[in-house]
Amino acid sequence: MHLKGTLPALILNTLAGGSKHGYRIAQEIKAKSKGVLDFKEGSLYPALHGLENDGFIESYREMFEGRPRRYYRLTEHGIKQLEQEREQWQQLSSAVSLILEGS
Amino acid sequence: MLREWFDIEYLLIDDWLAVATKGLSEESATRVAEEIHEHYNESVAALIAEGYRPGGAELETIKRLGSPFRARRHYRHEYPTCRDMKEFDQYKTEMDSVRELGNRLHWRETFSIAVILFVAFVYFLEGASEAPWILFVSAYAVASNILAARVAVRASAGRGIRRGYQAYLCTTFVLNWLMTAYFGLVYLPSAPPILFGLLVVLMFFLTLRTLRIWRKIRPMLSE
Repeated sequence: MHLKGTLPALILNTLAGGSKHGYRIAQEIKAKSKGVLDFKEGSLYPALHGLENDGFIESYREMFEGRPRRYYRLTEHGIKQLEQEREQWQQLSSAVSLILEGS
Repeated sequence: MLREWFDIEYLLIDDWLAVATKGLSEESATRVAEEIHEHYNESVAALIAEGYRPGGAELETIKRLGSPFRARRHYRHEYPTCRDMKEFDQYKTEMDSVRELGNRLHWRETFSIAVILFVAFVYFLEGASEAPWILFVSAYAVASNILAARVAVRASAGRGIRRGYQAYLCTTFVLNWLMTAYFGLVYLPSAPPILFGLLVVLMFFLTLRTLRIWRKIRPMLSE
């Protein structure tokens, strides 16, 4: 299942646990949703770059086992954005639940 | 070509990257390639640890990356393309020539030239002369570019190239809209409505493009 437009929020939420590199972010999203949320991994990096362009996350390179890796972390702006995304999602999901359960 | 039409699975990561990064600026393509190679190595190692054979792990990784055409669309949306960089380079050239011009021309003189050109453009466009209107549209474009670059030079002085580029895009944008509004008011009431629709659509896409270029180029510029 792929919920269109939710990837940036999922990335922000994953990075709330600390800095991570692209592959790890993809695996965590899949693992946390128990495989329900699936997306093509090629679309992860444009989403990361978009969040970086908007100033929600920042990246840096670090060596790991002799190989350079690009890590991403949340910025202050990104933390606030994540809070907003969570609130909006809760409102949306409770509204949809009300309608579906009501019928 | 067949792969492009039918979106057949890719066998090599470099093949996938060649399609996905087509049209991106050199810097963007390098960054994408770096990240995808890192991702690829991590994924292949993890899949081999799960029991995949090396060849199978590579194919599975490429499959999980998805269509390179879809990725290309996303990349072009977020990373500067060759065309974006060409426009940015044009801006830098204009800035340089205005700086050079600045030694000879003052702000007020530049502004006066622009106003004269605009008045001439309006005058001749209204049919007061047989002169070809395209000449005056071109003159307006040149004058607006000089003005925009002049504004950018002033805005960037002591405040960084980012502020300069922002001022340049805003000025160009306002001047383009002014010319469009003029066309709209003077000519379109008597023209077929479809023309007005086309003009609005054109300006809408121009606005979107300006905003998108700013979003993509901004992170590359220092404050």
